[in-house]
Amino acid sequence: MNTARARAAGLLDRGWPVLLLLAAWQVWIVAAHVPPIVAPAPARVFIEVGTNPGLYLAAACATLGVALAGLLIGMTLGIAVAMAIWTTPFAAGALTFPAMLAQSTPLVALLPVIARLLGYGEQTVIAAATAITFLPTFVLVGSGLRATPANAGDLFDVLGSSRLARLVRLALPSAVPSMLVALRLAAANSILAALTAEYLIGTFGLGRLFADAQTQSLTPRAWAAGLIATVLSVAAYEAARRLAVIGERYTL
Amino acid sequence: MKRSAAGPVIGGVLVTALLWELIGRLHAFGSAWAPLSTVIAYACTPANGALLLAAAVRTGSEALAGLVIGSSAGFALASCAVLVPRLARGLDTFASLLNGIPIIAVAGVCALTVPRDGTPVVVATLAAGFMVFVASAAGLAATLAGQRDLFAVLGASRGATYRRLLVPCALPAILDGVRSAAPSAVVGAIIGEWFSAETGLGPLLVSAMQNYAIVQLWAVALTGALLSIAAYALLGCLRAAVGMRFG
Amino acid sequence: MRIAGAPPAALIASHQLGIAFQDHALLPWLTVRENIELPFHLAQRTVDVARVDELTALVGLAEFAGARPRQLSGGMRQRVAIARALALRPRILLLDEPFGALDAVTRRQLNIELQRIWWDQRITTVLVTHAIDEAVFLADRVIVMSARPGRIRHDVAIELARPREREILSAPGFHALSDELARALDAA
Repeated sequence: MNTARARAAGLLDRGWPVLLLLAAWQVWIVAAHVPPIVAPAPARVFIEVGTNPGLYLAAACATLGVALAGLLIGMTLGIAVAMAIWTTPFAAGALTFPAMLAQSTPLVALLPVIARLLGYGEQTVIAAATAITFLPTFVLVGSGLRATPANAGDLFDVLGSSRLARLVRLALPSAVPSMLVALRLAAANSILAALTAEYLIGTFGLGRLFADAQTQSLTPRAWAAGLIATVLSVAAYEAARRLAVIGERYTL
Repeated sequence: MKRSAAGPVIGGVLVTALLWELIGRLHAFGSAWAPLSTVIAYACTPANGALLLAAAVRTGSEALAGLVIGSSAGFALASCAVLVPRLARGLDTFASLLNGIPIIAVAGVCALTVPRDGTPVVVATLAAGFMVFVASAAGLAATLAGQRDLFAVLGASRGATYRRLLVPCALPAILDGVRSAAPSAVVGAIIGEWFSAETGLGPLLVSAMQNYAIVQLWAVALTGALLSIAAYALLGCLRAAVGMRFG
Repeated sequence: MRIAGAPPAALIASHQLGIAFQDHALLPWLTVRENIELPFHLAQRTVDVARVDELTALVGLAEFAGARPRQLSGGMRQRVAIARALALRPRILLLDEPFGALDAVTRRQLNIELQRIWWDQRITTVLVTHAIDEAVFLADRVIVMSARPGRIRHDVAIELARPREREILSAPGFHALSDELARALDAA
């Protein structure tokens, strides 16, 4: 009995903002006499999801799928390029400007360009998720590869280590904590990027659902899509955060 | 170090510019890749240049407003978590929630509920706020145990400890957060403009996309990038100045 | 500088140099055993399991072979570092202030341990230290160097009997030598 109570207390401790927001939402609708076309009441949104579970499930899976694909490709590329740079210090300096340029160009500005280059299909959505994942991963893993334990570099020198052994046995394991940070960022960002791309391009997913609902003034549907998207990105972020426990093995 | 580091960076700039130009000229990625020279020529014509500049100023000011409000709110929330520890976990969830709401959804709702000009600023605020909240929370928590013990032994109240120790120590980290949030504020402003504004980089992007104006598309994207870089660089200078005083 | 007629780089290339640092430089993601095995991998030799077991027991960490560095105390970590330095039976052992980060009690214990380990392995060792008693207890020959620029000021032979037990630390001969070196350091 006590553990159940403790768990409930813990949940309340963390989750009171959710209840507060729901309550505030309801109060706002009623008190400000908000017309249904502007914003729906919470109950209306839940009914909307409840009566169309298949649609929202399919849309959520579609969005998650492309986001995941983009995340995997982006992280793999980011790690690979960071490793390649590690072996050639000259390239590290040369890449600073292009990397900064790419990082500063808002994805929303790049999206139309990518769409023109790759076509208005799913591949562009995956490319968007890849783009938003690649750069932070590259930067984080790049510095992670250098964050070796104190004197470990000297140790490897004295033990006559080859460059490859240095990369595989020292740099890569040292970079694991930063890979996990990159994963945490990528988890939420790739979903958001996929949504924005779907909104712009029109491929099937929660973003498209939101866009369609907007143009047809189906306000509960628009809010439902937005809400589910929020739940997904928070869940993804939390899941990635749990994985951070792995990182403990790699730090002293 | 400085001398040998400049060479590769300059080399990188030149190679980037060259590749951009060549890929465009040779149509290596199709006709949708505009060569660098074409984009620059486009931007330098008086009419287009003025248009891009005006749009950049508009978006920039919205992003700045959003950054200022968002940073203040993020910092305030993080401070609440420190001053009232009971609320800490909940506030963390709250911030994650706000961050998880897709910006397009926020912009869509704002378009209907907030006065026209306010949407880009509200969206920029949300985009920037979360990053500053995370940076502030981390910065305020990162004081060394020895310094906290000192304040405890000297009998400092929680408020005094906050004012005299935590905030000064956290200032560099907070400004790092503000600097990182600057590009997000620009993105938020642009998306906000998609839904409600007529001027700014957002509408320019949309119209370029709808009219298949390739060169304009690239020019607007480049302008957006330069805006973010400028903001990042300016805040970097501020951060360096503060770092020297408090670091 | 030449070692057995060859430059230091040659010694490194033939994996005959063992080293332990003040901050142990253990790899956090490897167990004690795997840390001690590291030199074998880097030298591209097959791991001599018997040797690793022998060293783990020699430094008194046989039960902790599967533990990770974060589970060990500072003194234990240094013992692993020393075991790792001995893994390939190096020709020369370099100890760069290996006990500098430890408290006085642990340091004293580890000095006695190191003496015992050294007596077992008999490898030519160069020890860098700021602790006079440590130098006198462990060394056959103590070289006193001045601060910047580092110049050799004194070269003292320590003729205390081997193997050195902890009783020696209280012997008059020990104190006399320590005083002599202290005076030499002051003058340097």
